[in-house]
Amino acid sequence: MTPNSEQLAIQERVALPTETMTIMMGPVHPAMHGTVRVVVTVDGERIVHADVQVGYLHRGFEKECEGVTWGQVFPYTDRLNYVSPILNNVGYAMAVEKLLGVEVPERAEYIRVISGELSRVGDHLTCIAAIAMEMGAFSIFLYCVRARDEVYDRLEELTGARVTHAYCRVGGVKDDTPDGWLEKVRAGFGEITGVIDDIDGLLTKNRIFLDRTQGVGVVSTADAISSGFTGPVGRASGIDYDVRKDHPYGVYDRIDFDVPVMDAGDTFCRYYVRMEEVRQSLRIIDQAIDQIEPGPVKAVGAHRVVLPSKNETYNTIEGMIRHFKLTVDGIQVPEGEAYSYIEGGNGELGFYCVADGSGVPVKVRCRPPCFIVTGQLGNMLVGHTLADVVPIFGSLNMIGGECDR
Amino acid sequence: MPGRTVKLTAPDRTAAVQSYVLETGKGLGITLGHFFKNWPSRVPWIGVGVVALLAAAGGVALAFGMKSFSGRMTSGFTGLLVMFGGVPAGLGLLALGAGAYRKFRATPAETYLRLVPYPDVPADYYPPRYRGEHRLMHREDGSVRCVSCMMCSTVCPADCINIVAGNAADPPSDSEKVPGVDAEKFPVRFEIDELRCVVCGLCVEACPCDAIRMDSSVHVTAYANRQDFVFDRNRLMERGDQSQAVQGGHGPGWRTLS
Amino acid sequence: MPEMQQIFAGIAWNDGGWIELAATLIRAVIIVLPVILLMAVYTWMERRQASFMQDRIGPTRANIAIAGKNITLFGLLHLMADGLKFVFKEDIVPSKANKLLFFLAPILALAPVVIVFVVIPVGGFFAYSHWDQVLTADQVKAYAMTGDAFRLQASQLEIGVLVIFAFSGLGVFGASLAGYGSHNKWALIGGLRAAAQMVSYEVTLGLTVVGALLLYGTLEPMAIANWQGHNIARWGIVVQPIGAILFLAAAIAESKRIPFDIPEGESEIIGYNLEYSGMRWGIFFMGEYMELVFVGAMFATIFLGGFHVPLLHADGFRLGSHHLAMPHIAVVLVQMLAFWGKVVLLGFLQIAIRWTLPRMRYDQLMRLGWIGMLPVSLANVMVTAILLLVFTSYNWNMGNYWIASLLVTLLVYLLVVAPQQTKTDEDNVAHDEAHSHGSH
Repeated sequence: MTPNSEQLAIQERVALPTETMTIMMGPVHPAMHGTVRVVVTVDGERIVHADVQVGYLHRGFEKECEGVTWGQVFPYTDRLNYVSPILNNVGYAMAVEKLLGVEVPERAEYIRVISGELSRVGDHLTCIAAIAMEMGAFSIFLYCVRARDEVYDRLEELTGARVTHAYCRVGGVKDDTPDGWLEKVRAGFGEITGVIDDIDGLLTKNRIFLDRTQGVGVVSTADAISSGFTGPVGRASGIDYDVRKDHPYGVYDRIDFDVPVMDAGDTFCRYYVRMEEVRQSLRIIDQAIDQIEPGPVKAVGAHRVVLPSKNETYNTIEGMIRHFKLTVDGIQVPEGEAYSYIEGGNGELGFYCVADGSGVPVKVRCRPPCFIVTGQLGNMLVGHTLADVVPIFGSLNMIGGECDR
Repeated sequence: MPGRTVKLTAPDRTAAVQSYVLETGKGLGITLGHFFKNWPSRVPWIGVGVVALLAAAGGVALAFGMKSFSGRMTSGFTGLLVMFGGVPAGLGLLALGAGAYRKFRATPAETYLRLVPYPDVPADYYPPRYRGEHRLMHREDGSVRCVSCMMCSTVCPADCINIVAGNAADPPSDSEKVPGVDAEKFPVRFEIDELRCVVCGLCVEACPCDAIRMDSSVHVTAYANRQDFVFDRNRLMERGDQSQAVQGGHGPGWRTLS
Repeated sequence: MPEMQQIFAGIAWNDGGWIELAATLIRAVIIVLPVILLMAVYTWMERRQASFMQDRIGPTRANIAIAGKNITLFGLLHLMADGLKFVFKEDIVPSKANKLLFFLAPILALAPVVIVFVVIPVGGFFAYSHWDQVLTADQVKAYAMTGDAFRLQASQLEIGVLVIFAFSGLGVFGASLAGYGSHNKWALIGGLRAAAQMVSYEVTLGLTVVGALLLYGTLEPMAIANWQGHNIARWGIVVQPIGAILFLAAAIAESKRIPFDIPEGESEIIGYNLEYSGMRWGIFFMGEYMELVFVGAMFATIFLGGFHVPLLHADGFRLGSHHLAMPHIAVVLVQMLAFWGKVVLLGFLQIAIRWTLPRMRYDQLMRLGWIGMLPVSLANVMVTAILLLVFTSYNWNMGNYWIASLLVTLLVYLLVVAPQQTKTDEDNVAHDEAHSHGSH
């Protein structure tokens, strides 16, 4: 990354001889997300060098996946980006489905879209909350938590857990929606839009917030492209790329929604793009609820992929045998490699799977969007003050579980 | 599809934005709006109002008493009434109004409060699919449904289920004796370490005989001792219920199942 | 000054020093006790008010079980729980800390804030021997002269407002010494920030009241309150609106609360009190909440008419020809209640501001203080002085000054604030850069 004007200005500012100080920011700093350490060298309050050290949270997702069957990976993917677990589930399921060539029923695709977009709303609300809280606006954090609770309640009704849903399965989803659930989702929109409007009123035109976010943590379009930025962070830097539009998967090609893009690439843009994306996600859910039709939620006829129904397992020997084979041996995925990617909460979330024909993956590689973004954090920080570290970091929405390398 | 990309622009730095004060006022309006919407719902304002009105009556009585007691009290009597009686009376009427507002307007659903003081007030709502503590289901005779097929412990990603299978021919030890066991296989030991459990629900999905379930609607409670988190078979069966599942080729439409 | 000496003479010297001592002690109790109580109440108010502003239900854990029911008293019991916790918590002193400064800092943070209350009047004169009679203002004044009245102000100093600024300026030592003595880089940054911020805003704080003081023609808080009196058109907030807003902002900066809480800023640097624990930490926060009371008391005295209530004269409420006579004690009590009521309302406002706004950045804060608020307050002083000159030279009624104050507001806005607003932050940065390069 070429030094920006502010960095150059710092290099030139040598008239007053000063001494730099090195401070460890994290991993136990109260505002550091996901146990990341930033070793900052400051000249007064200005940062002259920042060394971002991820890896204090290391769980070894990819290694874990090599020891379990394809179906057992789902609980692990929940814990990648634990703010939007359904999206991880969907991403991984799509990669395996690509290897298997399984057709997912339409209703399952719609449920994936609805629950995935709900997850995305929760993800963006968390990020907005974090940006605001790191500037001391704690009320906004709690408003966001209240709206996110609405999301969690709905997902809990659908999946049985508030955070670690483990809901998707290869070839569909675990269960159909409960009775009246879709109407309940729509009824909860008021709560979320109310909070979004409140935050808009509190922050978007507040000069303190604007001064602290505009022109701070700028990533130019060229830098963003060369660094591989995607998602809201990339779109805030002017990259017009959204997997849902550019490589439509699921049923996104039947749904009308906008992709917000901004040019400046600063913290404010990242906040503003996320605000708009929450509204667009609600639009997507609204249309998906209109379009969804009754039907099966697991691939039909794919006996070697999806578990038989309980009734079948209990009462037929064929079902029982399939059930045992699938549980003990796992899904037999034919030999091959596949990369599948979706629009995650923070950008392009990719899964690269290698299969050798057995029930256990040879390799499951995850392309975590926020790891790539965090790679540029050090460059973004240089030239700004110590107080800007946490808002910039917060606006990237780095999730420790996903960044896990 | 239409609506491909929207270019968003940051709000203009108008004089109103730049002067801090107006936007601060607007923000205060929003947060104080929350304050007043949430406020009356937690204070018994009617009680406060009644107390204040009683105080007002006492104040009036005091003022009368002072008048008769002190011969010098000539001209300031109305003021005294205002002070001892009028101020509490006004406050009491205000509180009564707030109480009435609370009673007739601000039900908890109308406020923004969505919280309950959790451990004191138990969570009242668990959706039917909620995954809580495990439980083992019973047969008609009260024995355990589990046939020790090991599916759950195989599928468990956290490896938290430990089953020791027993044969009906083996005499179960005294402590493990289960009345009326007629299955060929049954679990002599069935332990779940709830501390290791990741609550993914795969065990329930993997069970071929509706023996293990997680629909107990109970959080895993906190215990002081690690040992207490290891639930043995009897403890798991305590929460259990008689299963209604029909098995062995007697279920609904089993002949036509593919 | 001669009147003052007469008042002093009337109260004490005749009967020997012990009466003066007793009177001073009583005054101190009357004034400082509510302050300490209010400080405790504010810690509760902050929790409770914040919880409702943030859609929470607030403190519920501290409770006493009586007959199987948990009594929480709306969270008031948390005060006691907090106190107990602070006292019994382990008091950790970092091994490499500068022990003297480390011990001294909390005291220096708390003491100056208590001292400033000596000059703040919580009421007028209380003619105790005629408490149940209706007294006119002149009669009260006469009793005060003869020493037959009790002053509801601990100490009446001609330089009262300056005393307040002098002592509140000492508060910076607490924060900066805590930062310096803790042997911790984060605390040091916090201490440095505190020192820079409080010294800078001290200047603005002083200048914002100068406009008001020009009008009042005195530095003595009781006289300031009396100048404003029961006529709401003469209150500081009406005759000096710009001064009032700037004063509130600068005072919040002095008390280190959001949006100016950069010395603490718990999400960026943890703050100058990072290494403190137990009651030492508690003392810092007692000082902080006392500053909340102090800001409210100062603002009420200078801009909200002090202890005066609209339309309440010394002999009761008067509106036109209507008169509601009140005995002297009632008037005094209502005035004291009004004063504390104003303080509590301002506390409510400050807490509301804290839970609404984000925090400023260090350089923006400095820029706002030095090239934002300082020129505006200077302009305010100048325009006020010119208008005052006009009023006095033409012998106009000061009761009509509020009309002129509108003019002041408009002028200051057009001349100083509006031109500044067209400049963006980047322009200011560019200006700074150019300036610093030019000077070297």
